[in-house]
Amino acid sequence: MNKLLTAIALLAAVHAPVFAQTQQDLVRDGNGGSTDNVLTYGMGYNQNRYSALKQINKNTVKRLVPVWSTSLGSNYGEQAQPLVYDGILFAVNAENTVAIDVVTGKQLWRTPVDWDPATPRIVCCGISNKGLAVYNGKVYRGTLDAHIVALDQKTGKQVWKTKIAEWKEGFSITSAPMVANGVLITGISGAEFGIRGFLDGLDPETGKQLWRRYTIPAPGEKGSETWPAGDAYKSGGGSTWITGSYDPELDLLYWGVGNAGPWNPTTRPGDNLYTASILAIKPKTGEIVWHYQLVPNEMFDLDANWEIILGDLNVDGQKRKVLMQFSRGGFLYVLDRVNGKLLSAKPFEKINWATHIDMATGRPVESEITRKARAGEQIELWPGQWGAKNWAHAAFNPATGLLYANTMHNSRLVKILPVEYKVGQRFVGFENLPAPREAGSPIGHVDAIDPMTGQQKWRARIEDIPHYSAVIATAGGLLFTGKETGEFIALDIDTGKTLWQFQTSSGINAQPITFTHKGRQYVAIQSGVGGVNVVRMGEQLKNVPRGGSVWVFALMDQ
Amino acid sequence: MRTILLLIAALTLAGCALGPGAYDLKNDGRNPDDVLTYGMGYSQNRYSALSQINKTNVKRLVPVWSLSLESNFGEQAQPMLLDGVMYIADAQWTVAIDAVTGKRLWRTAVDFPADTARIVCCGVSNKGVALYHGKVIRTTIDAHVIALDQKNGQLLWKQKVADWTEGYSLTLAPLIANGVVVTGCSGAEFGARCFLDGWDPDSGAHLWRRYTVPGPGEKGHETWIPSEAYLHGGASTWITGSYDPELDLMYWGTGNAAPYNPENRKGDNLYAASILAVRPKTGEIVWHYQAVPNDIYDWDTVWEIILADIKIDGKTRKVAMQMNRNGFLYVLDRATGELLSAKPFTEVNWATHVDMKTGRPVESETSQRLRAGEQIQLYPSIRGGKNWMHAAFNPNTGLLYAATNEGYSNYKLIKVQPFKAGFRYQAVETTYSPVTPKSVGGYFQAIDPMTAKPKWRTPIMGELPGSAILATGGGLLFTGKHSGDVIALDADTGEQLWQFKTPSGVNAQPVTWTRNGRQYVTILSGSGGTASQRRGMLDIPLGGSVWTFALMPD
Repeated sequence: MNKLLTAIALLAAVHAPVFAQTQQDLVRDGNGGSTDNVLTYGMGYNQNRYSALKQINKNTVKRLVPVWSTSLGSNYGEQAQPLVYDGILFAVNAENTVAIDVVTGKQLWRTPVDWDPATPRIVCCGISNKGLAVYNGKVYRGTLDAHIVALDQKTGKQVWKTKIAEWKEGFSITSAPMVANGVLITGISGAEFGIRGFLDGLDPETGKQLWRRYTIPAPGEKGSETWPAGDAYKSGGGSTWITGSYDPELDLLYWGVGNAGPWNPTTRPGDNLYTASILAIKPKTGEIVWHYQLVPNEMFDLDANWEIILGDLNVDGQKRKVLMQFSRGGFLYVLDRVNGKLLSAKPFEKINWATHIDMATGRPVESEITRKARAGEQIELWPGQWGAKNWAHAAFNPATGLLYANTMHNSRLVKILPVEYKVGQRFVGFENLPAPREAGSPIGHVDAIDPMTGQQKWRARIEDIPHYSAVIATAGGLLFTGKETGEFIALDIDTGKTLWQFQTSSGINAQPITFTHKGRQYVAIQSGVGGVNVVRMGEQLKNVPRGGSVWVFALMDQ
Repeated sequence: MRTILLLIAALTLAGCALGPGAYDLKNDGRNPDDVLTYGMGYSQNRYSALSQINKTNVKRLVPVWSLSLESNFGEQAQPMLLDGVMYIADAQWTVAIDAVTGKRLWRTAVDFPADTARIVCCGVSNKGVALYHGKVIRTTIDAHVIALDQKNGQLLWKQKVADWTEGYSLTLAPLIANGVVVTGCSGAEFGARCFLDGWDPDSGAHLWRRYTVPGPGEKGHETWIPSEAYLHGGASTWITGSYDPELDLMYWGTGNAAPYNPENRKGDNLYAASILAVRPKTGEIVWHYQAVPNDIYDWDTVWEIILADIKIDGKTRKVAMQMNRNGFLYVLDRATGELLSAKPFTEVNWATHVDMKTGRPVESETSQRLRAGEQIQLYPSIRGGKNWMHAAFNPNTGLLYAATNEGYSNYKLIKVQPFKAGFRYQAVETTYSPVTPKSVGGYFQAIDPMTAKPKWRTPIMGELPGSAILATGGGLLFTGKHSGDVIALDADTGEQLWQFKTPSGVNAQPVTWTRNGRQYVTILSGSGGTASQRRGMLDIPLGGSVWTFALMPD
């Protein structure tokens, strides 16, 4: 009896905390859960970045105004998606984790991230962070020096910290961790520094490692036959630097894998699984249930990391559970997410490295130009350095069945170069230069795209600097995204016309969210120019100051 | 004839391209598109007649743009505006911004040794620029004055004012009066001997220096006993003076005497803690009024000197008003320096009153105990009854609007250690009454200058005052708080009508201006200065930015 009482007391204690997101809360995020909360990366496990909220809509958006802004005390750049729980907004960057009252904008706590100041030398693309996870009273985040930390949601105090890898060997973490089926999962960056990529599953309570799944099989493991004998696999790349999606019904995680390392493929003949692939994984064990490789023997930095959007689409009159990815290489892939079967792969931008995807084999048919590149010639390659789309996440509107993406229109001059592996040094072996642009040509677009055809329903042309921000779509008929020059903008979801904009304090290369509090709809975005684009677009961005802050907007009362 | 025409053409061109000129500065406010002087007018009234934003519609005031200043040192400056371009300074940068879009046009870094911060008493900061003849003129923390090209931010000239390693720094906005750039000096906590300097705006040539602590043979030197005490006598000039173009007199306040403990500097210690009337062309001191002879309390007399014409005993008098750190509100005849009024505007226990005959404060029993070596509870605290956060004056209501401090200091003199260049030279022990979320840190007050009595006052809860006040013809007062709020108060009642929380703390100076007929309000956000000590318990993130507000269109 005594034991029973103790057990009940314990249970009560476990359920008592106010801050206690359950697995069920995560499943329901963006999926029938309270719109007061944003608990997952992508505003739902399906990463649709879609909200059914419509208080802010095409008619009212002209009354959208900032209601507060709060400094994040960092000049490195802001790329993260904030999360919201119970009136508190959590924001991260490379330096700080911050909790803010959503109504007043007052900082509730801020916990600095402690990393070795030498770490930036192993970071390819900006000292940054893309977001956090919340679960059972804790917030989880990655650190630039390849740790995961858990903080108490109420106080910001560190609960645990786990080293995932040795940063001096080229590993870093900038992606948001995710919790799926009670397991905290993190990816890793470093495919430009000769890492061997992986996913890790951790116990959210203790930080103890539960499993590791290398994205590059070791000799003897399935897929290892796609690597030459020897050590090439050990520095084979295959980073996992964008957070995956999750289908709770199938209990499958979908995670994209990055380029092979080095970019120069001559030392690694073979398909090089699972680089440039999409993996379906069991969150409890890390088991790979199926895989689809977009680019066998990848050589152009054609990451398959971008967000994997889960939707239900009518394909040939049949409703299919699909996943969709705009790949860096310029094809829009639609796969059956139950079994990995390729349903469609159409180009959504100008490309010349492949003529098409062979639907029978699922393999790209490489072009004459690519063959020249493999032979060592310099070629002009489409897409350019950014890819046909970069990480800036797309949105999907289940009502219209359309995808909305910030895409890139550019080319580059590439040539393979000799390369040697050195621990913690760049391991690329590639000349990768921007190609001269044709005068008057667009440099990017905001696109509304049909998933199965890859065709645009509309295009909004961008001539100065391509957008480096995620897009969210709302039932109010709006898309929200940001510009590197600082404007936060709202577009008409049906036409792509800019209906509203606001000049924030720095450049925007981040991820908007929308949520409600006491019946009022808010839109939040971080401002703070950073990431790799600042280096590439230096001249155009020379008058965009650094300085991170969170911005929250709502409709002005009438 | 041809030569004359050419000359006229050249003059006209020069006049257009290279603004503002002396006429524009004198008439600042006449064209509300521009803000050309520190204090929004030579008289530093911080009053604008603009009324598009008013009590009725201020609830529709919204941010229209923001621009990061990429500095964590803190933002205290007043923006300036000319021809649609806004000019901002902080310790690290000078920035030009398209005033309507918020796009940065150029930015020029201030080059100063990182070490400089150690000789700065009160935050690595800057209070703003001056504009003149196509130039942006500013001071630097390592004690230089520089001029940049308004068009592109390129350095035109740079002059060393003093050696920062000896404790000198500059944070104030220069004053341009009668064609002369006038700058002051900070460092009275480091044993500086301060001064005013006059510079040629075109070349940067040094025109004159007027020490605020007279040297041997100069008038007033006899007030330093022993004589060599003058060498480290303080009397800093760290807030920009006002100017009366008709009288051709500048009014500058001077800071505390140094060190705070007076054991080695007997005498009145002129011109510490004084108001000086100075000729801009020569630096000649025409008259002086010393608010605190033999200052021992850090009673800076540097706060803004507000010029106005007010009725006294039925007669209109040209006056200079100052809400002094020491808690008294001084009203002087600005032509002669005659003391007209000196009433306390807050709780004062260091003096019983100011003797109107001699103009000297009558020190209290409490002060005598302090001088005898006891620890006392000093009112106001040594932060002052008011700190630098500048007050506004509305010539129509005849009222001053100020943010005043509450609280006290536990204060004690300690033995003076030998002077060491570049190190603190104060010799006192101080603690402050605590500021808690439930305590009144200060008041916003509407004050009658001659009685120093509040017409109304609104408590500032849980923090000390942060920002200067701007009064407008719309019946509003604009100011900012350390907690980050920019606020608008009803000028008639003190009721808060509007607020917006900016990213960091606000310890700066609002301005209002127009462009294409639309009224804007601009203020900087960026916790800094001594805010970390002043704001009590608040944890405010750092990070500077400019904020511009306007009414949401109907």
